[in-house]
Amino acid sequence: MNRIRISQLSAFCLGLVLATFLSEIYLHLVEISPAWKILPAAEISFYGPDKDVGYRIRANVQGLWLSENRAKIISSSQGLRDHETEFHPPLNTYRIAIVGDSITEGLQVDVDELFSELMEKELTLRYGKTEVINLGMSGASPAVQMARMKSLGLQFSPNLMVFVVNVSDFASSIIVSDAEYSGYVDSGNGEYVLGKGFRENPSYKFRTSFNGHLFYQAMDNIRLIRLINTRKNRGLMNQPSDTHPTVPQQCNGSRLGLLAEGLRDGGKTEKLRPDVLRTKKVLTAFRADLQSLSKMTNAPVVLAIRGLSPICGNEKQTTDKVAKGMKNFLSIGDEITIVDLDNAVDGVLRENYPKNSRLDMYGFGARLGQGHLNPFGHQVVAKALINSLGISKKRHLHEAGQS
Amino acid sequence: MSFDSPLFLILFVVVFAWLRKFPKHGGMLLLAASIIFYSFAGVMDMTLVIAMVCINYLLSFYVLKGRRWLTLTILTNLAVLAFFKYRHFLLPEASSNQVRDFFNADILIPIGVSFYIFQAIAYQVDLYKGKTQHIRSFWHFSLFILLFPHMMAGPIVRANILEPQVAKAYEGKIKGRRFWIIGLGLCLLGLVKKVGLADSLSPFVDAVFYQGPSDTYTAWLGAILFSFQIYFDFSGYSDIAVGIAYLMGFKLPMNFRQPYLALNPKDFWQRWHITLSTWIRDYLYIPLGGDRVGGVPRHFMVMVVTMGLAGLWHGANWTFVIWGVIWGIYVWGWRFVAPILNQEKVLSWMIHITVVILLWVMFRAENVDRAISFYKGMLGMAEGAYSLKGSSMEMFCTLIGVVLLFFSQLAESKIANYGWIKKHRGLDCPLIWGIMVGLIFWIIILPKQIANPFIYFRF
Repeated sequence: MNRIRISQLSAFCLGLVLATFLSEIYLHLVEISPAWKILPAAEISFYGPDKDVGYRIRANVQGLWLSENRAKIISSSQGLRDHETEFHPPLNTYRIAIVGDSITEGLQVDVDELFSELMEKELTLRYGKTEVINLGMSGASPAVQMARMKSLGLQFSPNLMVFVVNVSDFASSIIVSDAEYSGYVDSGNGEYVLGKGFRENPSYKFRTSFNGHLFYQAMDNIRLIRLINTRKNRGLMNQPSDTHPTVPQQCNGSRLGLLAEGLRDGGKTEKLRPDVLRTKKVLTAFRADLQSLSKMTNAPVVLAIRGLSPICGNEKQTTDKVAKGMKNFLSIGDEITIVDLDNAVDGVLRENYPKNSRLDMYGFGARLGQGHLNPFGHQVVAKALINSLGISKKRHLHEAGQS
Repeated sequence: MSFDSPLFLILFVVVFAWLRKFPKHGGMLLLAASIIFYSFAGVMDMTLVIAMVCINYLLSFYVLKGRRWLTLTILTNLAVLAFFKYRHFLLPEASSNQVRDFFNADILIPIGVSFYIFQAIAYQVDLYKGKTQHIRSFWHFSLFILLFPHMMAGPIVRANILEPQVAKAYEGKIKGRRFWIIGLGLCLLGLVKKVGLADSLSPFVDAVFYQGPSDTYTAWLGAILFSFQIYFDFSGYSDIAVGIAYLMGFKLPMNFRQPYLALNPKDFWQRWHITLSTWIRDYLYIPLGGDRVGGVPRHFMVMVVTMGLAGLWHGANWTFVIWGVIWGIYVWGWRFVAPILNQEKVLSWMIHITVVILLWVMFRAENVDRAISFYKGMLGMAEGAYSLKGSSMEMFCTLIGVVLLFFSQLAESKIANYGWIKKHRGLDCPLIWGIMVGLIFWIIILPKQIANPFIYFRF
């Protein structure tokens, strides 16, 4: 009896192993077949640890992005959501480094549909050889963007640096925490600096260890490991909620209020509430970093801000205060300029697409109006940035400086 | 809690193991598991179903006393159903065609209410007519209604089929079924249909119906894809429900029999949602007179009213009612062409499947205006914004895919049946069980990108 049971159990276990192999084979086959756009597949694991930022896009990975809209994505050898390029710029090429969050990274579309690529093509046509380096990364707060620009962006010797930021991120809790990735933290003397506390995080230590390296190798080659990793990240028991992806611009009254107070002229710091004081210090530190970036590269910096013209009508007064405050506090001559990206986008829509609204720029399929930029959205943002960055003048100044 | 979730898998494994270990307490264990399973639907839903169990149980003692009590019982059940399901429909906004998008909105009605109330009504009527025994035990009755594999979205099981099995469960006499491959195979088939196919088709179908087709190709393709999405989704659920029940020792009726192989409308309704169509036949169509009472006009009215109500059962939207009414006209009208088409099977199939696909458009559309706009798209007057067109290669592959979808019905009819299993009984072995369990595990582990509840949970 025992022998029969053991042999039955062995056969059952062999069956489990065979099922695992079959599943792995299926996941590989579906990626290389035309059915990748439809059938269930394993999502790419795109990110890895980074000693300066906390995380980064891993180099030379390729796979499928499945959320919101399916796309085949490849990262370059420098870990960019971009075509292959060299650190050293080619001759007579004007380089723009753009950093932002998932909106800039645009995993939902093909790389040639990204606004950075569209800008590159259009600017090359208009002004001659131009490269736009896309440093965008999902979840990148202004602190992460700053760390990324400093650690990776500067290696490309940009002639212009652009930060595409969401205004309410300046008052969020993630910008002041360095537990998982870079954030502005109190250096001890009351000033805020970019912290690297994530290096003490056990997860970071694992991911930078030899075992972590093996884990990433396994994820790159074994699709079932990707499945398990995605499940783990979302919560093993969690089912996706019925709520739709994040709307492009949420009403963020409390954060905007905090920002407005933090940016108010005057007001002694000792009289400010702790959260307002913290926001003011973060903005001060960010401004200092922007200045040092500009000085290091002798290149201008543009802050393209989203969220200054939100859809929520009752926030108009607050956002006007924030917009004015941002311009007064952060812009410094030609060195650092502020662009209201929403305003620029609205301008493009009025002029070129009068029948469309901002909501048409986001989402896919039945989720139109929600989530990330769709190809139309990337086209509009590309035009908006080209119109508002003042490339022509900046390029002239750069060329004049060179000669 | 959905059948395709890891939590359900864990719960089921625990229940299955306990049943094998402690069959004596099978009844109470299954009742407890059913309550836990349904409790994930929320306090309101739970309260309602318990209340309906209690009310129907009490009323069953009076139904035997006379027709008036039966009428009261039926009206009570229908009143509850009408309140929870149709109160929005009765509001003035409903007539303006601005009803919410049924297939993309949150599920608002208590889950399973349409199914367990119909099951309760069937029981009360059969009890009155002496077709089933009176379930005197409250615990037996509770499990009869609440048995978790089928209570949320069917199959609607008659008391004379389920009650003896429930009684055996309480007596500790449920035995494992003969071929585990049947139970596991049904679960695997159901998951492949739901997770692998229905959920994969869903984004495209949702996009076409939400934005409207921008060309004729997209309109027809969208309609065909929805026809298969709803089939895979619902039959997948039914397969899993029957498979799970089978593994626990219960035999539930199959709810689908490859409906897209049907050659005519009557054949279709003997293959699609079989337990609902037989319920409609036995408790609505025949009591109204069927085709035996009165002449042709009366038969026409009975058919149209019956199918219209069947459409209404699906949900509070005029699209469902119109869908049902047209089905009634179609079923009734087929008799005039049957003598010719019965000789031409291929032609009969082509005409019939085209009508089915066209009717699914009405079923799926958000409202009647959108349905009409969609039909215009199918006729070359597209007004929408979404296109499924791609490169020539992509469209060729899509065509192959659609052909394969139709052929999947043939494949299913050959393999997924008891006769085939019996013929290949050698496959019922631990190795195959292991493969099936492994595949079920990996399908459930697949992370979902968006929430896609089983379509019939919405009804």
